[in-house]
Amino acid sequence: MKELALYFQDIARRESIEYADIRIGHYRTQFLFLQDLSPKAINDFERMGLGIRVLYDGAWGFASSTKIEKGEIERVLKKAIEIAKASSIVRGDYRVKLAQEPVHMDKYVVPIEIDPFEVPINEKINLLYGINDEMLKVKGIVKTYSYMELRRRDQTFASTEGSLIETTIFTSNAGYTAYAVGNNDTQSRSFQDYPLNKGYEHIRSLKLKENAERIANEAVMKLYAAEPDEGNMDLVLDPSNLSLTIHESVGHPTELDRVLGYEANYAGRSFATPEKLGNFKYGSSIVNFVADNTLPSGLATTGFDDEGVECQKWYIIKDGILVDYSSTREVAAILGFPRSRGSARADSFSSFPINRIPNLCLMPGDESKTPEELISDVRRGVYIEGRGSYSIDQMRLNFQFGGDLFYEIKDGKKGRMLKNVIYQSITPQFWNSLDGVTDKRFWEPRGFLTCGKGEPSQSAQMTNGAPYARFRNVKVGRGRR
Amino acid sequence: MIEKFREIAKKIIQSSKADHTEVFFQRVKEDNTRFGESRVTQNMSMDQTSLSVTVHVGKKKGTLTTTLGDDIRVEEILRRAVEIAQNNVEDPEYMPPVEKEDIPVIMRVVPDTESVDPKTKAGVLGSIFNDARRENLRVAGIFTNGVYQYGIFNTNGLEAYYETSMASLSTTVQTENSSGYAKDQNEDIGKIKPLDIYAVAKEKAIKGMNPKDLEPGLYDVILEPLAVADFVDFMLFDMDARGADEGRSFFSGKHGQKIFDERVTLYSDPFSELNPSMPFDNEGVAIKKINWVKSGVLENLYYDRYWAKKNNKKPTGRPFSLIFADTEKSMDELIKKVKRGLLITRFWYIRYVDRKSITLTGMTRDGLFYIEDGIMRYPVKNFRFNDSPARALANVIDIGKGRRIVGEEISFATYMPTLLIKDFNLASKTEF
Repeated sequence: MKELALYFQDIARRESIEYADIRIGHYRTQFLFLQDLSPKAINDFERMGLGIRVLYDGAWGFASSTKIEKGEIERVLKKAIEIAKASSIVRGDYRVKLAQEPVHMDKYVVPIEIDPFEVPINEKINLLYGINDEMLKVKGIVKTYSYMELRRRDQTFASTEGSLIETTIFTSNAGYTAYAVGNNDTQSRSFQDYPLNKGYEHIRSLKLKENAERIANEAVMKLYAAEPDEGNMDLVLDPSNLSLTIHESVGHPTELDRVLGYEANYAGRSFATPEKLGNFKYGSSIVNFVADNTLPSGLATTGFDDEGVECQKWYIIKDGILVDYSSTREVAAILGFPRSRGSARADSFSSFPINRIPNLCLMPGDESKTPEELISDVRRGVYIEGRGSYSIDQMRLNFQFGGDLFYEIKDGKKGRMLKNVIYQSITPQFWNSLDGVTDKRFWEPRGFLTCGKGEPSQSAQMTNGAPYARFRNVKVGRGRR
Repeated sequence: MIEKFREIAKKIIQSSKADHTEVFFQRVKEDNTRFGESRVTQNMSMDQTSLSVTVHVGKKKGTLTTTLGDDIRVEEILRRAVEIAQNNVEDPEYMPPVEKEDIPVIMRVVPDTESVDPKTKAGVLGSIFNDARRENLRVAGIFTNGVYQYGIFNTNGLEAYYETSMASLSTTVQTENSSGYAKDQNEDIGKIKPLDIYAVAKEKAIKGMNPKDLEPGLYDVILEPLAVADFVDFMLFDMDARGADEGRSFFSGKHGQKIFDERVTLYSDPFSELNPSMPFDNEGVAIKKINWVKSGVLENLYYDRYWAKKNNKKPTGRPFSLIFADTEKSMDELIKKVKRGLLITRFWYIRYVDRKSITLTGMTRDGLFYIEDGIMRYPVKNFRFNDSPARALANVIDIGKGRRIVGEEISFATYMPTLLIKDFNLASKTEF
């Protein structure tokens, strides 16, 4: 692929264009899905192709192909130029400019211990089969699902500026769900996504089968749990639940392309507009969000992004104040930032790289604090584990989340199990109500493999790590009408 | 393309030593022009065909999916698929490939839709951008044209093929404190009227300026077809016979019962002129006209082949279409029936809150207007809803004229009416 990338640089530099880059990709995914004891999907996916992006007269063009050869690179380059020329006709006064980035000649490989594609497939199937078998033995369980997804992406990036970057990214993930029926109700409980950029050693470390019986039992217990009281009360959220709230209410609103209106037709815009930078109180003074695309095993830790910008670590919210965004070279230049934050990622060679959420994490506290200590200071509230329902408006203000497991908190103690709990708030109000986080012992790098954005929709992966956290006086309701 | 797919499939099937072999093709040849802030932000072209081969070894299956290039490595594809199958466990719900059936070959490609060039599309968008700049509006959206081809072949002699073109334009027009949205799609790009679509979105945005605060609560609501599509489409995911039989769904034990207002009829028909669609599903099962709900009564649920066999039923196939029977009543007629309520243009970010009752949550977006005494009065700030399509369809006040629309929650087109619903639960408000 390197030879073809060099060939691309050679021919693209001869064109009358401002800039061009190529991504030549080889993507492999193994996806296993069992429903009860029936293997519904045992699939290997392998995709190969190239995508070329061209900047001509201040406007973009992009074309892709599944044929990886010199003649096709020439054809696709011409096509991308033709498209960029069309875009430039209607660009008005705006010209795309790119924030500066040093030229990189580099390689990055996600460090792994066990290549997930070298592990025999029957070991993987037997693991999932055993999990479902274990859960189906629990009385009341009527349906089980288990899955595993293993990814490898080999990509060569080259630009007319001279960068030539080869990356190999591994990602591993598995999980499962049990459904219980009884007491005139249906409830589910999941061992939820815990994907990381690691090899198969991650799957082996998850204690998947060891937790199967507990998960199934908890699904059955939920059938007989009480509905919550409605009203304002305190919340203690575990890292899994909080990771989704972070993703939606901090990750997306601080994507600079969204802030600037690029996603207005679909994913929406953001309340976190540029005049708020450096002065907007996004959260309480203990709210610190660090974006870190160098985080070991983080899902957005790729060495370089998909426009050749080196992965970085930076604050987005510091001591409660909005101080920065995630960005691409184009949108960083619009605000006059000296450098992109390296957040341009595409889900395929055939997709245009867009501004994605980085590994964005809520920092743990410096003081020693356990989840139990957070709970001990709650008179009336709910403790929530895991992810459930989720939705947020297109400016990223009004949100509503559920969870997977709920316990009532009364007078500082975790009490009876609850079900069908939802909490609703407005983003800055919510983060300003945070008054306690656990220390780094309880911080977990939870994350996502299927963050949807863009038209046509693209999927991206990122880690949104969190400690346990306590929020005061949040609106809690019942999720069933 | 059918000849090419057939030739490759034949080569694979003839080379395969497995008990059964299935070959699936999907080609997407698509150009997408995205725009935001009244300029083109992304302008893309792709042509990608995926080839998927499933082999059956006894009651074990394995699948390999790859991009189709000029060099088709038949031996390697089969070797890897067989290796997966041999290492799989026997499937207690094993079904052999779909039996041969005469499925009509439909080719619905309009050449102009495929061949429109980037410059022509840019010219059309340029007119919209210029108007928006003149009017101090900001416009965003996507203009797509493409050709989509699907083929399924197997050792039982099944041969299913479908191709269609599709052009679509959606746009969001924004003022300082409001937005309006409109969308249309057609197999023939000549039938898409970009300036008309833009005009609808622009009118919504301008009428929506300076929205007022309204308190959350139960309101009678008029849902435009796009809002109905996203709200009702979610229910499709639950209309599965197995889920109902296992007690996991809203539809459990309700077969044959009147569950919705008697004016509600929901059906699928790939040959309907209202919403033509692919006449076979992802497995190759032929899809025929089927009523899901007729006059409010639950007539059918979706049966896959395994569950149908186990329960002595016929598989329904999983259709790529839903049609909600409409009337000729205009929007104005519906508005006149509202004492105190809201007009909802579209929803956003709909998700389940409770699966058993199909309670959903989501936001209103891009055009929300207060109606009092039969007159549209003023724009209001957006709400979050918590409500169920199952409850809503049992509380229909009236049904209006429909249209074909692709919602945001599922990828295929549906035909949906305008609906007037009683006591829709708008649970909380937002700041715009």
